[in-house]
Amino acid sequence: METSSTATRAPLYTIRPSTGWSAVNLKELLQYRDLLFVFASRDVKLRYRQTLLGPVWILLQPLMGAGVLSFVFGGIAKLKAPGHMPIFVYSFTGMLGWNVFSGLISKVSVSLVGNTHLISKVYFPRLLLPFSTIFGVLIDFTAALLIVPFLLVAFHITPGLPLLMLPVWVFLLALMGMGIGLCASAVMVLYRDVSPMVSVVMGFLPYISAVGFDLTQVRPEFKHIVVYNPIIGLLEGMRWSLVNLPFSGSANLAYSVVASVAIFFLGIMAFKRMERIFADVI
Amino acid sequence: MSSSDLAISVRGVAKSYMIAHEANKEESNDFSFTAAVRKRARSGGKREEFWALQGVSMDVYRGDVVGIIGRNGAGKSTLLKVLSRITEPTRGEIDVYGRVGSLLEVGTGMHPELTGRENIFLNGAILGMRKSEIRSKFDEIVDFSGIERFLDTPVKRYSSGMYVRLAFAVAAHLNPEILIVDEVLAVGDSEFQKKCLGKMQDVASHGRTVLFVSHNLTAVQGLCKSAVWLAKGKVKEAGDVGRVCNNYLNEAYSESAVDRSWDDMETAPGDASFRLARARVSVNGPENDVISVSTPLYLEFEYWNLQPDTVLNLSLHVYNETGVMAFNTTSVGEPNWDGRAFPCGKYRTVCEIPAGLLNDGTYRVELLAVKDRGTVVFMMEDSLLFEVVEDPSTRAGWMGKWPGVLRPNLSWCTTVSDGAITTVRQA
Repeated sequence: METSSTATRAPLYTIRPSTGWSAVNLKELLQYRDLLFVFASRDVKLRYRQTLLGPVWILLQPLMGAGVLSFVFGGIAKLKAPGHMPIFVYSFTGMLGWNVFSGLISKVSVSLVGNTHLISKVYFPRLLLPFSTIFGVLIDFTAALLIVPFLLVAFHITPGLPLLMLPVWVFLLALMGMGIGLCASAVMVLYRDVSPMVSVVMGFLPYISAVGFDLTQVRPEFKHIVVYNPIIGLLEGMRWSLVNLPFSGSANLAYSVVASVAIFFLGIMAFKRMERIFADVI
Repeated sequence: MSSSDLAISVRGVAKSYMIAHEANKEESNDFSFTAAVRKRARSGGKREEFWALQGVSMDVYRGDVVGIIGRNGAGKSTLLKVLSRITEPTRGEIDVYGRVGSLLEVGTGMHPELTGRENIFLNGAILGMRKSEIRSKFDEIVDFSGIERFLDTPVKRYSSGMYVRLAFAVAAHLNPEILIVDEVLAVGDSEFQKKCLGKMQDVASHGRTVLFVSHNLTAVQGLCKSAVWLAKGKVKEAGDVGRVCNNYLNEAYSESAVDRSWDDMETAPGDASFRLARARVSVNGPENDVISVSTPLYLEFEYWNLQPDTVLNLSLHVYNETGVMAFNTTSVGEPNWDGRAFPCGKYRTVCEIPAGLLNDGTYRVELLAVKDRGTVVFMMEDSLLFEVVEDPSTRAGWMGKWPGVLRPNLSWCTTVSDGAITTVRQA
């Protein structure tokens, strides 16, 4: 039996309409961390079910991607990578960083509409769905990273101390990808038009992001536009860390850092703002 | 009771949805891009606010087992969604004093490509269990589900029965202080429903709080001590389960579309060839008598035939509440007028549904008038809507939802075919 004290217990929580911009409930996210890992492992497990090569795809994808890029830009367009860097190494390191960014965008943007059923049937902090995609992207990144030492040996490249900065670039690229993905996912709940829009933009963006070729070679009239692309600075940072390629000077690093952090928080704000209507309109 | 015994306190909860209106029928035949854009742009201004809940207040105390009843669209599901934090209320507040587990369906989030084992963890985590909790109950869950041999098979290879058993086994091991259950009983076979009810009784007897939404008044009356009747987004009545359920049944009957008439031939539904004057369900007895599974009922239609010399037949499509067509019956073979040309005039056609044919539940009758054996001249999707209620004397103790679209009263017979054998064996 309960003690007969008449003191009112405090409710565990109170449900009320939220107003304006709401904050992220970090404590609750932490309580639900098991579900975060469950979502992550579900997605990772599902990815290669019923495939012949299974996880080998994690290695094949970036290798083939970089191969295509270096064939097109190096082999056909005859573009040169800066600093006598082999074009394949240039493309591969570019792809590494690019895939963190674009992988997050493509996975995060569909993380809500792909889980419609859950959102309309059960409560959990909705941020878990986009956040859980990080693991899959990082696994891909780590696997592709294992190829880098072989490239370094093959092409006689020695990275130096900048290698220690590698996590910073990955983190910033992830922030930016997550931010854009969060925005896209929230808007996609209302308008599925976002999905084709994202794929169009993501198909075009690598060409102005120094993924496969160096943008110092771009025509001068486009140069002042290209500097606004914050990805370039981060990809150059990746190359500086991995293959010791100096910054080209065509991008402003400080701008890239500020932009990625800002984009991330904008994404979170947009997501939290839209969150309350997800279940009603999805 | 003092406030220290509260489990859930709902105060003035309202929820509105924006609903877009459909464009006119003529327009929607135009599937071109410009038409679509035009329609979009226009319907943007034609959105209307719909209040699914309009100021619901109720207190649920610890250990209460509360049934929430009401018609479709009364706001039951919306209330559950707000209580389970799936959607936010537009106004009002709810204090929740304990961990809530909500089962709005069985197997939420289970993935067909994953194995049984993987799905136990996935589904458990989605329902709010910690990983350690699932691990400690894992063997129990597997035992309960009885799918041990298929634990490492993807659930897409399971039969639907196995799938539901696995899902339910996980749900049954959810151990919240407050359990919210929605219509879970509507799925699965009777065996499963029995298990479900048993489990809920179990939870309730352990002093935990249960909120149970169901169309199935028999189950509500069997399980719950009190009930809340929602109508049009408001609490119509709350209190003792027997009283609330009775009042609900009486009202449900009088509110259904059981008698509709149109006096003016010019504006009655239909067109220049056929107009409906009246549609009515009745029973053989006092005016407001309730239709139960053991009363015969009459579907009665009055109509004007406005085109001379048409051979007219009525056709009825009878649907149950889940949208399944229970049966289709026509006036072909009717003794007086079938096959004859109808002169212009007003006619009345009655169809008798015998006692012991329909199951309990809500039925909707779609009326079609067919000209010359083949052309539909009139159609009304919801010409009648009526509820057939339970007759407890027919149930033989079974408490769950009576399965099946129909509940025909068929003749049964058991005889001793060889009495000697049993005697010999006993000896």
